[in-house]
Amino acid sequence: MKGLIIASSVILGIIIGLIPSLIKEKPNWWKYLIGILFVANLVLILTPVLVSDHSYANYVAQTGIEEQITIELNNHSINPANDTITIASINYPIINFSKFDLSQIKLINIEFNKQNQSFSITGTKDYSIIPISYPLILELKERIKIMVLHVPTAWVSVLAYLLSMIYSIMYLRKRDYKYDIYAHSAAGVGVMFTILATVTGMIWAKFNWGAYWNWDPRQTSIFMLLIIYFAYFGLRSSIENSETRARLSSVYLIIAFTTVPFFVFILPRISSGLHPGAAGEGTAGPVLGGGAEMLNHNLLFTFGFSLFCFTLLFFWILNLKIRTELLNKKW
Amino acid sequence: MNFLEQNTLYIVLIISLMIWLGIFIYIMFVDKKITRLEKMVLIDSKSKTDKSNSGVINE
Repeated sequence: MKGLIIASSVILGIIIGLIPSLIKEKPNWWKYLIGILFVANLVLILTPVLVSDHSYANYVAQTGIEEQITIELNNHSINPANDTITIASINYPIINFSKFDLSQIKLINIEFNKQNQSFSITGTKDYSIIPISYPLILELKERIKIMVLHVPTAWVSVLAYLLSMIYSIMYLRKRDYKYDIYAHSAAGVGVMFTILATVTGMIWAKFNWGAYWNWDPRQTSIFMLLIIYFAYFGLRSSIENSETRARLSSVYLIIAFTTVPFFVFILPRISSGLHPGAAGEGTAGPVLGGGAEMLNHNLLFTFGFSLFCFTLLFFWILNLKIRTELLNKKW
Repeated sequence: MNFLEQNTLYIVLIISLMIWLGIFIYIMFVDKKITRLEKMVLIDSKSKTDKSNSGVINE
């Protein structure tokens, strides 16, 4: 299910992104569609409330963290007869029960009281304008939503580098300069998205790990990747002869892409680090791993949608970059 | 205003939407400019071709 949603988002993004072609001007409906989709994407990412399930509430109680959490009520949660709330098959007495009419309410805020080993209802909560919820993880809280913006930018940069490699191979086979321009433009947009992924990750790291830069394996690998592609631009600008420049750039981009799967997907998973999915965690991370505790159905759908939106945005920016480069060459 | 004070996430949403709107308008502007330049280059190259063709006929 997870793989299907993610793969279909990327494939659909590529298909719609290539309408009408890579270099032709995009129709107006296509441009306005991206505008509207991105607005929907931001609303979908930012507004849903964070809700914990009953077993997680029980975990919070057992760990003794005095934290106010929101849970989604079901028919069997509340027992009005004996003023108890059932969380993960354990009955806890409720304080302040009489204050709230729980028949009309779906979400309640509860807080565990260590002294008398009970949950007290501290208030009620409504769904936001979007009636869905995301999982509450105490270590992340609202910061979990950054994942839906941060990971797609990194994945789109991989797509950009893949395209740059494909067009480089096409240039070497056909010796047509337009493929050199396509490859160069894709690498440029890829670097832009890599920088975006790095910056959004740094902001997240500051508030989750305490520092903007921690030399975590994934931070190190993205840094290496940026250096590799910065070196490409250095190499390209240092050659004057256009034929030599195109040939060497194509060879460099092909070799550079062979490092991308290693730096993005493999290295951060075989070495231990702070990032989710690092070695020793037992999972491949919230997106590629099998567990659903971080990426539940709602968050997975939003992630797929965000990936789709970012793929479309990438194709729009790539289209503009290629057209500018072609104009530059013609002039 | 009271609603926004209680639901701070909506402030983040409004700011994000404003940033996106700014980026979107800018990309649209760049797109239109490139289209205009493409048309100018096309007209320019056509007029050059016409001139060279008429020169051949005169000779």
